[in-house]
Amino acid sequence: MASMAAGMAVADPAKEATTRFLRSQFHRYYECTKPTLPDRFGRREFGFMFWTPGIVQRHLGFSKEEELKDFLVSRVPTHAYYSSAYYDHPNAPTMEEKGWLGADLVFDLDADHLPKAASMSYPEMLEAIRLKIVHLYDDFLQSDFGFDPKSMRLVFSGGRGYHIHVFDERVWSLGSHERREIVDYVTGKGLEVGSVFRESAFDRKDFQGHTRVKTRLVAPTSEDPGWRGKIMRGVNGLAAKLEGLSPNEAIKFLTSFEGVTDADASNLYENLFKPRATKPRIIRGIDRLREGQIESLSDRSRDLIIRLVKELQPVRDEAQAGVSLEGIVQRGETDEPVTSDIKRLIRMPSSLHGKTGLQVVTLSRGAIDDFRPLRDAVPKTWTEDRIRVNLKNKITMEIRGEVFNLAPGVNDVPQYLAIFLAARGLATVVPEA
Amino acid sequence: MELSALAKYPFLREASAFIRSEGVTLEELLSEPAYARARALGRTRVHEALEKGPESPRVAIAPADQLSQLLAYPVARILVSALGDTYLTRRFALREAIAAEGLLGQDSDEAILHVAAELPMDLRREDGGFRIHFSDFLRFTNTMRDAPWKLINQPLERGYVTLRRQKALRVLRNAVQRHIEQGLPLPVNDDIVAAFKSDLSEIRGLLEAKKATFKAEDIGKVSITRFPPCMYNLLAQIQNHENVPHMGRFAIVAFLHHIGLGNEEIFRVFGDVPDFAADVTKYQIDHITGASSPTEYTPPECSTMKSYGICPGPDRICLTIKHPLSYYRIKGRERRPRGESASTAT
Ligand code: SF4
Repeated sequence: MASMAAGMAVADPAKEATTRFLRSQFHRYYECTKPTLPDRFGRREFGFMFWTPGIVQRHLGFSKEEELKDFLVSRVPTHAYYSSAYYDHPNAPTMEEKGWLGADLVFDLDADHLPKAASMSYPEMLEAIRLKIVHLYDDFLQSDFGFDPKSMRLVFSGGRGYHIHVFDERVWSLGSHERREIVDYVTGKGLEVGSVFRESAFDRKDFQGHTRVKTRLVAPTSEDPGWRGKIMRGVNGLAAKLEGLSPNEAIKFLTSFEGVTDADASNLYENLFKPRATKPRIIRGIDRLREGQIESLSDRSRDLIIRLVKELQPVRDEAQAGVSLEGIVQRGETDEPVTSDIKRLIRMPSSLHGKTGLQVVTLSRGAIDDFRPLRDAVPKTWTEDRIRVNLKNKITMEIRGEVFNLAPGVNDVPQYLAIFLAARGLATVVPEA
Repeated sequence: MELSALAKYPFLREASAFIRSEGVTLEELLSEPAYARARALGRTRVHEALEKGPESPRVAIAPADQLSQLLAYPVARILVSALGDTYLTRRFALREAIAAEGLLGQDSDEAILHVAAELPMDLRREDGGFRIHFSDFLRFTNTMRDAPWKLINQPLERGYVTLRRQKALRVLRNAVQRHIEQGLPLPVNDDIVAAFKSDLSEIRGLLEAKKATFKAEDIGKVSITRFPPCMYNLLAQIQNHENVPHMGRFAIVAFLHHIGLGNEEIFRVFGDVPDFAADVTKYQIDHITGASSPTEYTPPECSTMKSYGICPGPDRICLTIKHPLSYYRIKGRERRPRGESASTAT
């Protein structure tokens, strides 16, 4: 006991008070919140993190809602996860003993992977990710993969991202290679130009016993299914954008992409906009392109424009991690100690995110359009009670519809703001005397 | 389906139901002179699986011949099961699946849909071709790694991939192969073994001879001591007939190719490994190595190997590299035995 007291004396009292404050608020939240259970709840592995960094508890299985709730209320985790996979024995310690039965598909888009994340504010980042997740939902998962909205769940992570869980039973048994194919599809990896443009014979000559067939590339239409249509819509969109710019601006825009030289850019620009014929009307490359005649571009220009279109696809694999797909653990694929690895676990909807104090919220497709995390994911449990906090820097932000302009140092703020700032490490709670 | 069709696609559940309804018992099938022809055909099919003798015709006109064709299938399955050899099982499933692909190619769209539905595979007709649910497309093409089979290069709409007839048949072949393999082996009793005693020993002889030709004396000019841990493990696992994930098989083939083994040699290294031979056939080795496809695949980088769980944990050299091929190069530089030049392995 004496040594513990000595330890406490060395510890930072403000930090202690902050943790105590957050923990008691989280406790209150879990006491009055009914946990949202995933389907096949009893087959999932749960994992949690607590108030001491680095402590992870995995390999837990629950069979009843009350058991999970009791756990949350008594242990008060900072982060709560469950596996996208289903197991025979979710609480067994190794993958082998767990017995993999299948897994949902989980897409995880996080602002950490936005190229410009560092220069964006929190709401800007979340907005950028929200647009991407909607694009993924509408244009890939629903329109290409044909998933029923009833078998998809959109989730705000409580932090800096959104997730989509797909629990269509036809994907449960897919192995890791098959899942990677889905990620490649969504991120545009491995697209062959040849599969977008078809060669078609248009002239055939017999000459001294040889047959010469001339072919040309036929462009798809923008209504074509899959990537063929996406590429054509992108090509037309990009061409239209360039058309609206002055030549200088257009070249500047093109060279802003990595690896595009001035020469490449002016070539493409000329290819698209220099008049080819003047009678009976002015015809430019772009006009031909709109008629589906891709061969009006030089091969170099064609490849360049396709590359740019792929880069502009909002669901890209930025820094190799913009889109990651979880739940690709296969039976027996790994049985190494995974105590600190929570990658294969996904955040539990209705739990709290320990780094924000925001709720992990399940959203319908309609609701996400107007969803603003700092307004809509602040738990109702958080009150307006004044809490005395110490700010490291000045803060300007809007939360729950209130705008705050706070100077560094001691401030009295509503509890809901205190929790957010404390959880993010921007403020400490002033210990009561 | 009618007898004529069932005789062509005897792996369908309907086909066994038909046999049951005809009241043919196993005992009769094994011993009755009336079924001597079926027994002979069944034996031939197993021989065919081991590439002995020419392909036998599978389309019969007379109903009696059709019945023999149909009954030949259970006979062949019994023989394969009695031998209990995984290599033979896989060869047999592959041979039967290729035969079915050929026959379906001559058959109606309805027949194709009918067979697909039984596997089961969500295949539907679409003007001028077919469409298949993407999950089945992925499932049944997961051994085909070249670009034209990648999902991103398929027209995918509302969950379905549009396929031309020929491509649909190729996918169907994989599904049939898996279906047949999964139904084997059947339980066999002593009576069966006794009834087919001489047939079984003949097939066993063929099988041994076939396997013997595969035994790679060594793996030629490459030096196994220079392999990184991952490749060494994969090779060992494959040769021990352990189940190696697809990515692992892909990695080892690409690796062996890049260090200078010819495709024949690669095939021989794995030739006696049934699991490997069935999933990565010569055809696929040719694809991975670029012999029959525009792409020459490189083995995955260490980071990819790690994320697939096939990196056994880096050793000293691993810590300095990003790619398994570098390991082989570095190890070659480190201690090159006299007489071996650096160019033996590129
Ligand atoms: S670090 Fe690279 S080379 Fe070494 S074992 Fe792992 S994958 Fe192989």
